[in-house]
Amino acid sequence: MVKSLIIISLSLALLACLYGGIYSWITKDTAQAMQSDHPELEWLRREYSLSDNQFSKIKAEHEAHDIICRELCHDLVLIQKRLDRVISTHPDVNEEVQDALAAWTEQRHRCRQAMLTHMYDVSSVMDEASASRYRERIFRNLIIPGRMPHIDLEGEFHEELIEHAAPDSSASINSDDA
Amino acid sequence: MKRESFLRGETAEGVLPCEAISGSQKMNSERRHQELGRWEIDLPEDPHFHSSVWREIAMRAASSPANRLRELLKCLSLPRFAIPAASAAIVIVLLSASLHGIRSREKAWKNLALAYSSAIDPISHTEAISSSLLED
Repeated sequence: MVKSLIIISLSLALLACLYGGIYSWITKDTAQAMQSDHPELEWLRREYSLSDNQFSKIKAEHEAHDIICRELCHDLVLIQKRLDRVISTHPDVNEEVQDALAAWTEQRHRCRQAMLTHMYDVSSVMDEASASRYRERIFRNLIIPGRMPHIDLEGEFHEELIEHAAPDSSASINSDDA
Repeated sequence: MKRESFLRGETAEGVLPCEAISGSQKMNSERRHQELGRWEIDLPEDPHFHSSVWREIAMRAASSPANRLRELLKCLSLPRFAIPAASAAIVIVLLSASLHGIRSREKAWKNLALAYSSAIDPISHTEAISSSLLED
Protein backbone atom coordinates (compact mmCIF):
# COMPACT_ATOMS: atom_id res chain seq x y z
CA MET A 1 0.00 0.00 0.00
CA VAL A 2 2.69 2.50 1.05
CA LYS A 3 4.93 1.43 -1.80
CA SER A 4 2.09 1.94 -4.27
CA LEU A 5 1.36 5.38 -2.82
CA ILE A 6 5.00 6.40 -3.17
CA ILE A 7 5.09 5.20 -6.77
CA ILE A 8 1.88 7.08 -7.61
CA SER A 9 3.10 10.27 -5.89
CA LEU A 10 6.37 10.13 -7.82
CA SER A 11 4.46 9.51 -11.04
CA LEU A 12 2.23 12.52 -10.39
CA ALA A 13 5.26 14.70 -9.66
CA LEU A 14 6.87 13.46 -12.86
CA LEU A 15 3.70 14.24 -14.83
CA ALA A 16 3.57 17.74 -13.33
CA CYS A 17 7.19 18.30 -14.36
CA LEU A 18 6.35 17.02 -17.85
CA TYR A 19 3.41 19.43 -18.06
CA GLY A 20 5.55 22.37 -16.93
CA GLY A 21 8.33 21.43 -19.28
CA ILE A 22 6.09 21.20 -22.34
CA TYR A 23 4.28 24.42 -21.44
CA SER A 24 7.50 26.39 -20.98
CA TRP A 25 8.97 24.89 -24.17
CA ILE A 26 5.93 26.01 -26.19
CA THR A 27 5.78 29.48 -24.61
CA LYS A 28 9.55 29.97 -24.63
CA ASP A 29 9.53 32.56 -27.42
CA THR A 30 6.82 34.70 -25.84
CA ALA A 31 8.57 34.54 -22.47
CA GLN A 32 11.79 35.72 -24.11
CA ALA A 33 9.91 38.48 -25.95
CA MET A 34 8.37 39.69 -22.69
CA GLN A 35 11.80 40.01 -21.12
CA SER A 36 13.19 42.20 -23.91
CA ASP A 37 13.34 46.04 -23.87
CA HIS A 38 10.49 46.39 -26.36
CA PRO A 39 8.29 43.28 -26.28
CA GLU A 40 5.96 44.80 -28.90
CA LEU A 41 8.88 45.01 -31.35
CA GLU A 42 9.55 41.33 -30.79
CA TRP A 43 6.06 40.73 -32.12
CA LEU A 44 6.95 42.83 -35.18
CA ARG A 45 10.16 40.86 -35.68
CA ARG A 46 8.30 37.57 -35.55
CA GLU A 47 5.27 38.66 -37.56
CA TYR A 48 7.29 40.10 -40.45
CA SER A 49 10.31 37.77 -40.20
CA LEU A 50 12.75 40.64 -39.73
CA SER A 51 16.48 40.10 -39.94
CA ASP A 52 18.72 41.45 -37.15
CA ASN A 53 19.75 44.36 -39.37
CA GLN A 54 16.16 45.25 -40.21
CA PHE A 55 15.19 44.88 -36.59
CA SER A 56 17.89 47.24 -35.32
CA LYS A 57 16.87 49.87 -37.90
CA ILE A 58 13.22 49.53 -37.01
CA LYS A 59 14.07 49.70 -33.31
CA ALA A 60 15.88 53.00 -33.88
CA GLU A 61 12.89 54.30 -35.86
CA HIS A 62 10.56 53.15 -33.12
CA GLU A 63 12.53 54.88 -30.37
CA ALA A 64 12.69 58.12 -32.36
CA HIS A 65 8.97 57.92 -33.06
CA ASP A 66 8.28 57.24 -29.40
CA ILE A 67 9.64 60.68 -28.46
CA ILE A 68 7.45 62.39 -31.09
CA CYS A 69 4.52 60.23 -30.07
CA ARG A 70 4.80 61.24 -26.42
CA GLU A 71 4.91 64.93 -27.30
CA LEU A 72 1.90 64.64 -29.57
CA CYS A 73 0.10 62.63 -26.93
CA HIS A 74 0.86 65.24 -24.27
CA ASP A 75 -0.46 68.05 -26.49
CA LEU A 76 -3.51 66.03 -27.41
CA VAL A 77 -4.31 65.41 -23.74
CA LEU A 78 -4.11 69.15 -23.02
CA ILE A 79 -6.27 70.04 -26.04
CA GLN A 80 -8.76 67.34 -25.14
CA LYS A 81 -9.00 68.65 -21.58
CA ARG A 82 -9.62 72.12 -22.93
CA LEU A 83 -12.32 70.80 -25.24
CA ASP A 84 -13.97 68.93 -22.37
CA ARG A 85 -13.92 72.04 -20.20
CA VAL A 86 -15.28 74.29 -22.95
CA ILE A 87 -18.07 71.88 -23.87
CA SER A 88 -19.13 71.46 -20.26
CA THR A 89 -19.16 75.20 -19.52
CA HIS A 90 -20.75 76.55 -22.71
CA PRO A 91 -24.41 75.78 -23.31
CA ASP A 92 -24.23 76.46 -27.07
CA VAL A 93 -21.78 76.23 -29.95
CA ASN A 94 -19.89 79.49 -29.85
CA GLU A 95 -16.51 80.57 -31.19
CA GLU A 96 -14.57 79.18 -28.25
CA VAL A 97 -16.17 75.76 -28.62
CA GLN A 98 -15.45 75.78 -32.34
CA ASP A 99 -11.83 76.81 -31.72
CA ALA A 100 -11.34 74.06 -29.17
CA LEU A 101 -12.92 71.53 -31.51
CA ALA A 102 -10.78 72.71 -34.42
CA ALA A 103 -7.64 72.49 -32.29
CA TRP A 104 -8.61 68.98 -31.21
CA THR A 105 -9.28 67.87 -34.80
CA GLU A 106 -6.04 69.45 -35.97
CA GLN A 107 -4.03 67.73 -33.24
CA ARG A 108 -5.58 64.38 -34.06
CA HIS A 109 -4.73 64.98 -37.70
CA ARG A 110 -1.12 65.73 -36.68
CA CYS A 111 -1.03 62.50 -34.73
CA ARG A 112 -2.36 60.54 -37.70
CA GLN A 113 0.20 62.13 -39.99
CA ALA A 114 3.04 61.32 -37.60
CA MET A 115 1.88 57.75 -37.44
CA LEU A 116 1.54 57.54 -41.21
CA THR A 117 5.10 58.84 -41.59
CA HIS A 118 6.33 56.30 -39.08
CA MET A 119 4.42 53.55 -40.83
CA TYR A 120 6.18 54.34 -44.12
CA ASP A 121 9.56 54.68 -42.38
CA VAL A 122 9.20 51.25 -40.84
CA SER A 123 7.86 49.62 -43.98
CA SER A 124 10.77 51.03 -46.02
CA VAL A 125 13.10 48.80 -44.00
CA MET A 126 11.06 45.64 -44.68
CA ASP A 127 10.95 43.58 -47.83
CA GLU A 128 8.21 44.43 -50.30
CA ALA A 129 5.66 41.78 -49.33
CA SER A 130 6.09 42.34 -45.60
CA ALA A 131 6.00 46.12 -46.07
CA SER A 132 2.73 45.92 -47.97
CA ARG A 133 1.23 43.61 -45.34
CA TYR A 134 2.46 45.87 -42.53
CA ARG A 135 1.02 49.04 -44.09
CA GLU A 136 -2.27 47.30 -44.77
CA ARG A 137 -2.48 46.13 -41.16
CA ILE A 138 -1.60 49.49 -39.62
CA PHE A 139 -3.90 51.34 -41.99
CA ARG A 140 -6.78 48.96 -41.34
CA ASN A 141 -6.28 48.93 -37.56
CA LEU A 142 -5.21 52.44 -36.71
CA ILE A 143 -5.67 54.92 -39.51
CA ILE A 144 -9.25 54.10 -40.48
CA PRO A 145 -11.37 55.64 -37.71
CA GLY A 146 -13.17 53.12 -35.57
CA ARG A 147 -10.90 50.23 -36.45
CA MET A 148 -8.95 49.73 -33.25
CA PRO A 149 -7.63 46.44 -32.03
CA HIS A 150 -8.75 46.05 -28.46
CA ILE A 151 -9.12 43.59 -25.62
CA ASP A 152 -12.61 43.28 -24.25
CA LEU A 153 -13.58 42.88 -20.59
CA GLU A 154 -13.15 39.12 -20.81
CA GLY A 155 -9.60 39.53 -22.05
CA GLU A 156 -10.37 38.49 -25.63
CA PHE A 157 -8.58 40.20 -28.48
CA HIS A 158 -10.67 41.82 -31.24
CA GLU A 159 -9.89 43.73 -34.36
CA GLU A 160 -13.39 44.19 -35.70
CA LEU A 161 -15.02 47.54 -36.39
CA ILE A 162 -16.22 49.47 -33.41
CA GLU A 163 -19.51 50.67 -34.82
CA HIS A 164 -20.13 53.61 -32.52
CA ALA A 165 -16.64 54.93 -33.24
CA ALA A 166 -16.91 54.52 -36.99
CA PRO A 167 -20.03 56.20 -38.33
CA ASP A 168 -18.82 55.75 -41.90
CA SER A 169 -18.18 52.05 -41.46
CA SER A 170 -21.84 51.07 -41.93
CA ALA A 171 -21.86 52.87 -45.27
CA SER A 172 -18.71 51.02 -46.37
CA ILE A 173 -20.14 47.69 -45.20
CA ASN A 174 -23.37 48.34 -47.06
CA SER A 175 -21.47 49.32 -50.20
CA ASP A 176 -19.44 46.09 -49.86
CA ASP A 177 -22.63 44.07 -49.61
CA ALA A 178 -24.04 45.80 -52.69
CA MET B 1 -54.27 -16.15 16.95
CA LYS B 2 -52.49 -18.76 18.96
CA ARG B 3 -49.68 -16.34 19.66
CA GLU B 4 -52.13 -13.73 20.95
CA SER B 5 -53.82 -16.32 23.10
CA PHE B 6 -50.47 -17.30 24.53
CA LEU B 7 -49.61 -13.74 25.33
CA ARG B 8 -52.91 -13.36 27.08
CA GLY B 9 -52.00 -16.41 29.23
CA GLU B 10 -54.27 -18.92 27.49
CA THR B 11 -53.22 -22.53 27.81
CA ALA B 12 -54.68 -25.95 26.87
CA GLU B 13 -56.35 -25.94 30.23
CA GLY B 14 -58.06 -22.66 29.63
CA VAL B 15 -57.17 -19.06 30.37
CA LEU B 16 -54.88 -18.79 33.31
CA PRO B 17 -55.92 -16.31 35.88
CA CYS B 18 -53.69 -13.37 36.50
CA GLU B 19 -52.65 -14.83 39.78
CA ALA B 20 -51.50 -17.95 37.96
CA ILE B 21 -49.37 -15.91 35.52
CA SER B 22 -47.86 -13.75 38.16
CA GLY B 23 -47.25 -16.85 40.21
CA SER B 24 -45.53 -18.62 37.37
CA GLN B 25 -42.73 -19.53 39.69
CA LYS B 26 -45.05 -22.25 40.88
CA MET B 27 -45.13 -23.76 37.37
CA ASN B 28 -42.60 -26.52 37.18
CA SER B 29 -39.89 -26.21 34.59
CA GLU B 30 -40.90 -29.33 32.65
CA ARG B 31 -44.37 -27.98 32.00
CA ARG B 32 -43.00 -24.64 31.06
CA HIS B 33 -40.71 -26.24 28.52
CA GLN B 34 -43.60 -28.23 27.08
CA GLU B 35 -45.65 -25.08 26.71
CA LEU B 36 -42.78 -23.23 25.09
CA GLY B 37 -42.07 -26.15 22.82
CA ARG B 38 -45.64 -26.13 21.65
CA TRP B 39 -45.38 -22.52 20.68
CA GLU B 40 -41.94 -22.70 19.07
CA ILE B 41 -41.98 -21.71 15.40
CA ASP B 42 -39.99 -24.12 13.35
CA LEU B 43 -38.76 -22.23 10.28
CA PRO B 44 -36.85 -24.07 7.56
CA GLU B 45 -33.16 -23.05 7.68
CA ASP B 46 -31.86 -20.96 4.74
CA PRO B 47 -28.97 -22.90 3.19
CA HIS B 48 -27.35 -19.66 1.90
CA PHE B 49 -27.72 -17.77 5.16
CA HIS B 50 -24.06 -17.79 6.16
CA SER B 51 -22.70 -17.07 2.73
CA SER B 52 -25.21 -14.18 2.33
CA VAL B 53 -24.12 -12.66 5.61
CA TRP B 54 -20.44 -12.90 4.70
CA ARG B 55 -21.11 -11.52 1.24
CA GLU B 56 -22.93 -8.56 2.76
CA ILE B 57 -20.06 -7.93 5.19
CA ALA B 58 -17.54 -8.11 2.34
CA MET B 59 -19.58 -5.71 0.22
CA ARG B 60 -19.85 -3.16 3.02
CA ALA B 61 -16.15 -3.42 3.79
CA ALA B 62 -15.21 -3.03 0.13
CA SER B 63 -17.37 0.08 -0.31
CA SER B 64 -15.34 2.15 2.21
CA PRO B 65 -13.07 4.77 0.54
CA ALA B 66 -9.89 3.31 2.04
CA ASN B 67 -10.70 -0.09 0.63
CA ARG B 68 -11.61 1.32 -2.74
CA LEU B 69 -8.26 3.11 -2.80
CA ARG B 70 -6.54 -0.09 -1.78
CA GLU B 71 -8.29 -1.96 -4.57
CA LEU B 72 -7.35 0.73 -7.07
CA LEU B 73 -3.74 0.65 -6.00
CA LYS B 74 -3.76 -3.10 -6.23
CA CYS B 75 -5.15 -2.88 -9.76
CA LEU B 76 -2.64 -0.23 -10.77
CA SER B 77 0.24 -2.29 -9.50
CA LEU B 78 -0.64 -5.01 -12.00
CA PRO B 79 1.32 -4.51 -15.24
CA ARG B 80 -1.74 -5.06 -17.44
CA PHE B 81 -3.46 -2.06 -15.78
CA ALA B 82 -0.38 0.01 -14.92
CA ILE B 83 0.92 0.30 -18.48
CA PRO B 84 -2.34 1.60 -20.05
CA ALA B 85 -2.94 3.93 -17.07
CA ALA B 86 0.55 5.42 -17.32
CA SER B 87 0.23 5.75 -21.10
CA ALA B 88 -3.14 7.47 -20.78
CA ALA B 89 -1.80 9.84 -18.13
CA ILE B 90 1.19 10.76 -20.33
CA VAL B 91 -1.03 11.36 -23.37
CA ILE B 92 -3.45 13.50 -21.34
CA VAL B 93 -0.59 15.56 -19.90
CA LEU B 94 1.02 16.00 -23.33
CA LEU B 95 -2.22 17.11 -24.93
CA SER B 96 -3.37 19.44 -22.17
CA ALA B 97 0.06 21.07 -21.75
CA SER B 98 0.35 21.57 -25.52
CA LEU B 99 -3.12 23.07 -25.82
CA HIS B 100 -2.59 25.33 -22.81
CA GLY B 101 0.81 26.42 -24.11
CA ILE B 102 -0.45 27.13 -27.63
CA ARG B 103 -3.39 29.14 -26.34
CA SER B 104 -1.21 31.17 -23.96
CA ARG B 105 1.30 31.78 -26.73
CA GLU B 106 -1.35 33.00 -29.16
CA LYS B 107 -2.85 35.26 -26.54
CA ALA B 108 0.56 36.69 -25.65
CA TRP B 109 1.37 37.45 -29.30
CA LYS B 110 -2.01 39.09 -29.79
CA ASN B 111 -1.44 41.24 -26.73
CA LEU B 112 1.95 42.24 -28.09
CA ALA B 113 0.39 43.11 -31.45
CA LEU B 114 -2.05 45.32 -29.60
CA ALA B 115 0.77 46.84 -27.58
CA TYR B 116 2.65 47.64 -30.79
CA SER B 117 -0.39 49.31 -32.35
CA SER B 118 -0.90 51.31 -29.20
CA ALA B 119 2.80 52.23 -28.94
CA ILE B 120 2.98 53.85 -32.37
CA ASP B 121 -0.35 55.65 -32.18
CA PRO B 122 -0.48 58.88 -30.12
CA ILE B 123 -4.28 58.83 -30.21
CA SER B 124 -4.35 55.37 -28.65
CA HIS B 125 -1.96 56.65 -25.99
CA THR B 126 -4.27 59.55 -25.27
CA GLU B 127 -7.32 57.30 -25.15
CA ALA B 128 -5.53 55.01 -22.73
CA ILE B 129 -4.62 57.96 -20.53
CA SER B 130 -8.17 59.33 -20.70
CA SER B 131 -9.70 55.98 -19.81
CA SER B 132 -7.27 55.52 -16.91
CA LEU B 133 -8.15 59.03 -15.68
CA LEU B 134 -11.85 58.16 -15.95
CA GLU B 135 -11.29 54.95 -13.98
CA ASP B 136 -9.47 56.92 -11.28
